[in-house]
Amino acid sequence: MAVLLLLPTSQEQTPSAKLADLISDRDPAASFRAISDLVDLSESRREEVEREAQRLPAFYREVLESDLKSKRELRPLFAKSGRIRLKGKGRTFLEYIDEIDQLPGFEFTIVAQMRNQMPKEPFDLDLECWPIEGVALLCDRVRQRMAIHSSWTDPTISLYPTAHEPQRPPETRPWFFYRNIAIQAGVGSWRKTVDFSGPPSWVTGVGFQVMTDPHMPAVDCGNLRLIEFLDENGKAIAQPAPEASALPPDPWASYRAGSMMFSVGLAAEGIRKISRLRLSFTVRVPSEVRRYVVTEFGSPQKFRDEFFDIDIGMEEGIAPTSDCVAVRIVPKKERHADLARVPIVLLQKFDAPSMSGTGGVFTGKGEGVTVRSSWCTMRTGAKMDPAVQRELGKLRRPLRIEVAIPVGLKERTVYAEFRDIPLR
Amino acid sequence: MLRLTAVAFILLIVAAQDPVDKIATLIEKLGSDEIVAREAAVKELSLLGYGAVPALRKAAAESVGEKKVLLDRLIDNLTIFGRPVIVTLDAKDRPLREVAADLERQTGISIHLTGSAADTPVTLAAKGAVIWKVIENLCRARGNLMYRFRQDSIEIFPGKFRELPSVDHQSLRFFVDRFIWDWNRNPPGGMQFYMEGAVLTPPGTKLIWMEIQVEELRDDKGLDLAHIPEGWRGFLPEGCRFGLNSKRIIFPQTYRPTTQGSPTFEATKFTRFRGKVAMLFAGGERLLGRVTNPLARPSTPARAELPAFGVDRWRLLDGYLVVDFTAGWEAEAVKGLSYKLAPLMVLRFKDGDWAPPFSEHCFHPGPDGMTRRQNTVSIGLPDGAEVASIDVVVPDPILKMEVPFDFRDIPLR
Repeated sequence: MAVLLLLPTSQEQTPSAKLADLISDRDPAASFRAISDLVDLSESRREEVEREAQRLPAFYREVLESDLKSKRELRPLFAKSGRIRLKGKGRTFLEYIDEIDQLPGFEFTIVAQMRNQMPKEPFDLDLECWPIEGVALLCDRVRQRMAIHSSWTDPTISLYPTAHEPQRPPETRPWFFYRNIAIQAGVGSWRKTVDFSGPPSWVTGVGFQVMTDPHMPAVDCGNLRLIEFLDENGKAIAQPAPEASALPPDPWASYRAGSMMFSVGLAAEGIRKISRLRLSFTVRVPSEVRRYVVTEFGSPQKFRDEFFDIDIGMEEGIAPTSDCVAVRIVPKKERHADLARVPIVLLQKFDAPSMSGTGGVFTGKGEGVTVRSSWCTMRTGAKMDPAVQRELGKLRRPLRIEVAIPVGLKERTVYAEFRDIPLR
Repeated sequence: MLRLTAVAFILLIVAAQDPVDKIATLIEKLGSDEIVAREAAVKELSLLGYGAVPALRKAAAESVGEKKVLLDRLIDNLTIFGRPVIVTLDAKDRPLREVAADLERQTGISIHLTGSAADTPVTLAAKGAVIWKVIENLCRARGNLMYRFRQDSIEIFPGKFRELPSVDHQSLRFFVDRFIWDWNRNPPGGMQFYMEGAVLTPPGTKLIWMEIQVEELRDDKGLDLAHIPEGWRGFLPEGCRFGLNSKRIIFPQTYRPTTQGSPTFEATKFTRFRGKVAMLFAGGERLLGRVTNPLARPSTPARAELPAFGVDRWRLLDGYLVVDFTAGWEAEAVKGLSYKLAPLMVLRFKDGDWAPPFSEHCFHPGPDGMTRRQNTVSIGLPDGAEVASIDVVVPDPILKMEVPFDFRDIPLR
């Protein structure tokens, strides 16, 4: 016994061992930070890190071993991600945000809509965090809404002032952060069903929004696996059985592509919170985003490369407001069927305000797919219906269409852990 | 002029084809001076089902007066239900795969078996029974099988049998699939309560409108969700409009109480859920406009004056036919057509099959008729299908049917 007590002082702990000591079931945030550091450390001390993994609690061992494997397989798509220190006295929300925005290598653009309406109360801060975590926690602190757009096509974080809707301030919901990934739990929704199979069934669903930074641009997520799912008494929560409706499935319910959201269901009534939720899911990371830009719309444009045959041209509908730019995409390197559900984004710019993007997915059926822009026209001398014109203004001309298609998609498993998700 | 024909309840169809001379004899009896004899003949001919229609049509063309009226009504009743879905079967411990194949052969409806269902031995006897009832009985007898309806087929899968409240009428069935309460959806914190149900029809039934009209939905605390308060100015539920489908067998519909309410929190059951499913069928079709061989190049534009119907442009896109068309008719041609009974577009194939466009909202006759206008529709094009024409038709005659339902003591806890 005495020998054992002397060992720690007589032997210098390795860096891996020190980090492994920080990993325990008590503090998930600290555990995931330590796992991230161990993954980075594995570049120079791989065997040592792998040895330390063996003494971790089962869940964290699985997380570490999975990330070490992802790092080997995905490199360089397994992005580096260092933590930052946000420290200040008496600074405003926007001053902290601007500091993150200026970080070298942090490729997000943070757009603060109506900067003059953002909170101006100064506050002190001392926070060590990943950049994406810093933005999220700062928004929570001053109760601002934020939206992270698609990190593979439009790497921006938009901040929206909430001053004009004080009656509906954003709720602070539980977050999970790990390197380039932020996941926020939504508000629970409840469903009671009488389906004549016995007593009514209760299902609670909680949605999760997954956000990644441009260092790890994820196209979509799927393959959800619930590893541990406990109620407030520490009892395992049962999963609801799949619905056995006698009605045809809703085609839209089963449709999912380019979605960075998932939800979990609980088959229980009266549970007030999820005390612990451990899960994993996969994201698809593109090795490259192919981009095809058109600025001339007077005649059809063609792009031919090893990946795709692309034809872009105006498509006339029955009225100018049903005209659009149609993009026909025929895959060449991979079979269309193998690309099913891979998203395609059209970044569009017109000479009048409109949505900045639209798009679709590869259907996997036929030889290719056609996606269309929002309405715009090249017709001259055309007239709009007066009622439509009052609403839309003038005929809209296309100025620029950028077709973005992710290619070389690789799957990466992401683990997350939440504590105390309230269900109301 | 549209004819509104109230369809009387008809007894279950219990037999398959009868000899031709029996049909001739029964048709003869329709001209009898005896009311009882005529009614008996109508009843017997009704029981003969769809197979009697060719002979009835031939007889109607040669008849006059009341006999022709009776024959026309009989034809209307029999044809709106398309191909009958009556089956006869006697199986003892046969694998479900064999029984399903037999049912498919008799009805023309595909039956998909999921997982271990295919090998499940089933015992079943049915004579002249409607397929929906047979499938339900089959699953109930096993207890560990359940069914699901797709658009044009039936799936049987391993799962706990659910006894769904249902009401049968001729070859139709209305059933309630479930009642649902949703919280924290839109708006956040709000609650939505609704019922999901459906009507099943034989393939080819030209159901063009359906509406669930609930007269009472009362819980055991006395709350009646179907009650509309006096002076209510909110949303009033309406039904759904459908196209002329040739293979579809299920028409789902959701019922939400008008006042958006839900049962009393303490309620343990619905004591009564009654009302009716109101349906409109196309007994026949009056042609308003036709473009023959519409996929010819160049396209067939509409003429300048009314009536006008033409294909301005078309394109094939990933299995869909997208058609830009121009259409318009004088007021007289579409007089009296409401939203429910608006003209329908239908794509006809050379093999006799047909398909409606995805949207049935392409024609909006107003009080002054339908002035010339343009629109675009998409129609699913089966592989290898050869298009014969695009038609615009007015359902005529319109056959109206109401199937009452009255369910009691539906448990809520």
